[in-house]
Amino acid sequence: MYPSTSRLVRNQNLTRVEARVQAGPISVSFMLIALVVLLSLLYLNQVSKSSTLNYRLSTLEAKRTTLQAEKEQLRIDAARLQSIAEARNSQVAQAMTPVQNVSYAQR
Amino acid sequence: MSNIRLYVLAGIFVLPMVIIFGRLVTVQVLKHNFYADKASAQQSRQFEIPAKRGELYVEENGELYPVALNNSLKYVYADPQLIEDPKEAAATLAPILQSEEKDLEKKLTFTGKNRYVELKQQVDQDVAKKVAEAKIRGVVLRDRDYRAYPEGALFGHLTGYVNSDGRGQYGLEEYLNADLSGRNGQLKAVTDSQGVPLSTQDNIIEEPRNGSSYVLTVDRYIQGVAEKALKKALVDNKAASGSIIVMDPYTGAIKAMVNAPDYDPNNYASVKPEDYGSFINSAVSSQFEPGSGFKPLTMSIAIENDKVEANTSFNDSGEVVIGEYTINNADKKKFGQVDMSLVIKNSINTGMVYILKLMGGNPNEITKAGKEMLYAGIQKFGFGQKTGVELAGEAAGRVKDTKAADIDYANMTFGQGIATTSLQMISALAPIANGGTKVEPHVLAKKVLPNGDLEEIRKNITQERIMSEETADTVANMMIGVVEGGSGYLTRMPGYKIAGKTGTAQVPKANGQGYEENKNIGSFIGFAPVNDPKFIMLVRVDYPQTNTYAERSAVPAFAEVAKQLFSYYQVPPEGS
Repeated sequence: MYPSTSRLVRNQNLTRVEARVQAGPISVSFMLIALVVLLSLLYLNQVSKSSTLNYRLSTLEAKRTTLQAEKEQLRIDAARLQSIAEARNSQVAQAMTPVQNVSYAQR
Repeated sequence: MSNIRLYVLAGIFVLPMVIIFGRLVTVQVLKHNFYADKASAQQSRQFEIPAKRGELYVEENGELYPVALNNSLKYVYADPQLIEDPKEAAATLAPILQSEEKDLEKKLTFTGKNRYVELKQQVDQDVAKKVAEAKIRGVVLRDRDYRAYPEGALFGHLTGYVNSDGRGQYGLEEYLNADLSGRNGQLKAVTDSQGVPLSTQDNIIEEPRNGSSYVLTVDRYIQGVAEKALKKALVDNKAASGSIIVMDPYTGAIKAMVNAPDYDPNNYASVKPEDYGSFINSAVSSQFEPGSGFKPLTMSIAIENDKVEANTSFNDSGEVVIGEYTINNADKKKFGQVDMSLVIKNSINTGMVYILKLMGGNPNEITKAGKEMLYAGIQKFGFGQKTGVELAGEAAGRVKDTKAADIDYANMTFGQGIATTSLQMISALAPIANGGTKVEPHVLAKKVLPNGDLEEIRKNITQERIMSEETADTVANMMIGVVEGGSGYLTRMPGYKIAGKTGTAQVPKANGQGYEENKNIGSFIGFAPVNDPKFIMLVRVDYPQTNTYAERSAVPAFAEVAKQLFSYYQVPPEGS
């Protein structure tokens, strides 16, 4: 057995540092509430951020769908405007006159 | 405490545990798959991801022009049971959908059965937006893929159309339906309580395989020229219908294929039931007796088998008797002593029967050997079988076998009693134009690969020789005579050598007993320039009323298109 008097003992601190800030039960309660409020705000912020991003995403997706549909329609319009029937009825074609005399270049 | 009471107490605790354990084993082990599937069915749904339908193009100077493409539009439908005030709803929707208010009101009124009524198809974005903004309960907008055909009726018989069920009808749309449709994909996704898919790692997605796109051999310009010429021919002759085919005589690539009457595939639903015949591509689907246009083929069979030569002579008395039947020339003409070139030039029926007799080795009668030779030759040209062109509804035609009567075979020599299609005829004549090789008519040139590159569809095709070059040249020269001094005179053009043959065929009665009075089909098949043909063309005019012979019904249309083709292919006249 070790004697009760002060002696160097393995794994025993030699000095004791007293805590300078001491919190009573009310302070601890306030801190806990503050922490909960802080976490709640953080959560709300994330949720609202996520909702905003979701909204932006769905808006952009809707816009992409609309633009794709517009692109498709424009492609069809372009093809129709380049069709033989359209070319035949164009003002340019109407103003053309048939070729009368053709001269072929010698090869 | 006695042992019995202890056992009872233990039983009260243990028995429920055993029951619960047993139930757990049943649920989790024995019926594991059943409950797992049930849970999965409640928590996940399968969604179909539609594949994009392949498109059809024509190629011009390296650029692709669409002739059939996709158009994602919306359609509007309503559930009348949910409509609170049909009158007000109709009044709101009528100006937006450009429909009659009364019709809409009738559709929107609930009758007890009508839970689904279509209000408008093919609604564009602007109209869809207005419908959505109207916020009428029970009126719904849905996406639907439609097909657009920018060239309209010009390519109608080639493309066909896609019906409201998404199935191809007629033409390439039907023939290539499976290939154009592709395969829809699947999304098996975990869903929320509303059935909306959630993005989780457990989702299984099978990507859709989009349909293949193709490039046609058809040339838009030639197609347009042919269409214009055919319509003029029908008006000039007061004819019921007709077709023009232009083909590359060396490869069998179809450059133009038009029929009249036609229809616009964009508005196929507006075609009246009595006009449903206009959906049919008669160039490949309608059978007819070709008449004298068939004579060059009979001649080539005889020459190829060394039975006649160009200068083989024949004394025409104007008629030939076969059993109880007498065959005459057109207008009962007599030509006297003629050679084979004149038989073709003057389209002498009796001369053709003489050739059949020579095929059998006896100039005085038709023999089985002659019939067999003719039949074998006709088979080689592909009559009585489909050409295999990539268009729906192709007819095979009909050729009587050698058991048929002598009179049937005598008639066949000049194109009567044999059922063919316009496409078969032009394909059969092509070897005479190209020096003797058989061609396979086709309308597909290239496949569009997923990366956008184009791949030739027909590579390393070996063409079968069905007659010698000498035979082809001999018959071609005979056909030049038809244009230079025979019934094809209206297509003569200074500086151009054109070979051709007219055919004015009778039309068999529907009951098969004889031929219709005052009804004929005029046709002209020709190719040019003869020394290096750029095209072979067939013009067919059905039931002309003002001109009863092909030389005036079909030849002018041929001449009109040929003139444009010489210019388009930049073929100068000889001696220029």
